[in-house]
Amino acid sequence: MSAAGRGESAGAERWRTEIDPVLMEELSRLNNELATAQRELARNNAELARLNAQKNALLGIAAHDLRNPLDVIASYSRFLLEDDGLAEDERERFLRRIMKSSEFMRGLVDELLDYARIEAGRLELDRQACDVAALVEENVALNGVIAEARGLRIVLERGEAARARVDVSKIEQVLNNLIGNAVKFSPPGGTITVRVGADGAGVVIEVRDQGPGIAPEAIERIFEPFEKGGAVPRGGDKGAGLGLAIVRHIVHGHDGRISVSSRPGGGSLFQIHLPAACADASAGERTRS
Amino acid sequence: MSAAAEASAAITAGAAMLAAAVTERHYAAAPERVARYGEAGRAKCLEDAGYHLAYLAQAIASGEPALFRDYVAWARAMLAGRKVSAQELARNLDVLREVLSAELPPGPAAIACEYVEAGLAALPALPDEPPPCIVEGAPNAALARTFLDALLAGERRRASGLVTDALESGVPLRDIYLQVFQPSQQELGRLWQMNRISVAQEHYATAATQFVMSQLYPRLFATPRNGLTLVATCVCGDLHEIGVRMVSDLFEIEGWNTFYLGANVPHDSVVRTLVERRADVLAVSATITPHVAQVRALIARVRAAEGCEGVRILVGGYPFNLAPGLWREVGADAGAGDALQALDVAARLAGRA
Repeated sequence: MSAAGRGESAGAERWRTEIDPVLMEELSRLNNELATAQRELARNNAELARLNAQKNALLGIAAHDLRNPLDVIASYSRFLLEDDGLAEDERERFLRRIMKSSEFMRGLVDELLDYARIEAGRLELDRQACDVAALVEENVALNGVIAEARGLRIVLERGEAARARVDVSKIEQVLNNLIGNAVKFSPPGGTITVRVGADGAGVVIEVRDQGPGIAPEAIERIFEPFEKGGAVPRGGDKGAGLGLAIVRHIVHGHDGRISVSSRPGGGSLFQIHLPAACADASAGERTRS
Repeated sequence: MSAAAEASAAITAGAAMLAAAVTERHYAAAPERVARYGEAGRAKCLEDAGYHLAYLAQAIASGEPALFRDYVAWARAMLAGRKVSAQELARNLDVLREVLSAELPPGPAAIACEYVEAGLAALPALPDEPPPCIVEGAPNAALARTFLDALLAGERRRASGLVTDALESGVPLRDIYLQVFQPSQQELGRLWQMNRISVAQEHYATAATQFVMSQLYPRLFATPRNGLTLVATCVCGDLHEIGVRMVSDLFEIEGWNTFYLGANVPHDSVVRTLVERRADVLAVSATITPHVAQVRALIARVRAAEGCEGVRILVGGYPFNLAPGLWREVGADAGAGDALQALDVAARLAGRA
């Protein structure tokens, strides 16, 4: 037995004598508080490690995802500058590739900036009482054009009147992301079902697709930043993997909840619940979340 | 107010007077007790009568005679370890019945006496020693026994080393909690109940177990997340909060984000944490029957709070195990008998099962 061990054993013998119970209770309380503080410290350390991993992922995106389209832009710009004999249709093809790469980069940078703002606690919401069902309908119409071009159908099911106090542009961003994802991941000929209605406690929005679904091990991380869920979108639409993380932050900023259920090969269902509107609220309200 | 609620309230309101009357009558019936047990014995008798009444009031409020019957079983084993016979306890409960009958209005008295009589009827068949909590042949029982022996010898570093070695040899973290920490803590309680260890030893072993648990936190918080959030608290004495702490850690191992608040946290703080953390589930534990009323009050506060509408509430702890329908009565969404069941039930409540 170690010296420390022997010392502790001798201590154990001493406990058989009377010890002030009030003092003992207080020591127990102090020990509990220490244990709780240690637990929080360990949690915070784990959170810091997670943030460090995110920072590394961000550097990875800067290194790879932005470098590839930059290379495309640089190469095609050089062709255009150096080759005077290019045919008109070829020049146009090169310019379109430059434009597509630029748009991709802008989308990526927008996502990163959005996420950086949210992480810095600067998600500002300009909440107005509005008809969420109408917002959903507009977004379905917008995405319907893209869906149709890909041989997909979006079905809208409107339930009861669905009013809530929301930041219209942010909720549009949420809808665009979820419906846009459903379009990206659905096979041609598939149907996307969007539902909006009220459930007594607030507004419920559902987006169901017939895509490849999400693996169980990925579903738990799907709302984490830089997670792409494993599946590859059709048509090569790639992103930074921040879209759903941003969506979750916006929904939470509205005191709402978002969940997903899915199984591989069986499509996915995203559900959002937003708390009910104040019926008499007509003025806007700016909140920081 | 229902007849049961009225009886419970009458006992709670008159507890001090009733406890004094029980002690007075108990000693008056056999004056030699003064010589045998002294003034300290009289003070203990008064304290015990207070416990009888607290358990009785809560059992009646919950409509669960099993809660009082189990208290009688616990008291018999505890007193047997301190050389107080079952007959002595029976006489004391008899006096309790007489006092309730004499001092309470007829309606409440009838209900209270019925509960006491059920406890008295069960008393002769109850054991003096509860069964061991570390069961020979159970997975990792030998490790649990050695771990507890180390703690009782005051060797926390050896106890910690045993756990670290087991983890290094491939025993899953979850099994350490369920098969080592949990049974050794239950056994610790049993040893105290039977007067085989001192209160100081019990305190030390509990604190040392927390020390060992805290050394495992880096592993605990490194497990993959599942996107669900649990807030956990308990309504219990500070010594008994380790149970719900273990349950919180098990949820963390399973991928939940857990926020353990500690014991007896003000209700407003619980609500604030639920809202801030966007909790999916609130887990509330009560160690002993008299704490059930506080669980009920906490749940009512959460139910009424803005921003907690989606929070599902899970309760657990000894009284809820004794009375399987009690979770519903206190306003929870579900109850769980042990840590493993709590994981399953919470996943179901959060829509993940």
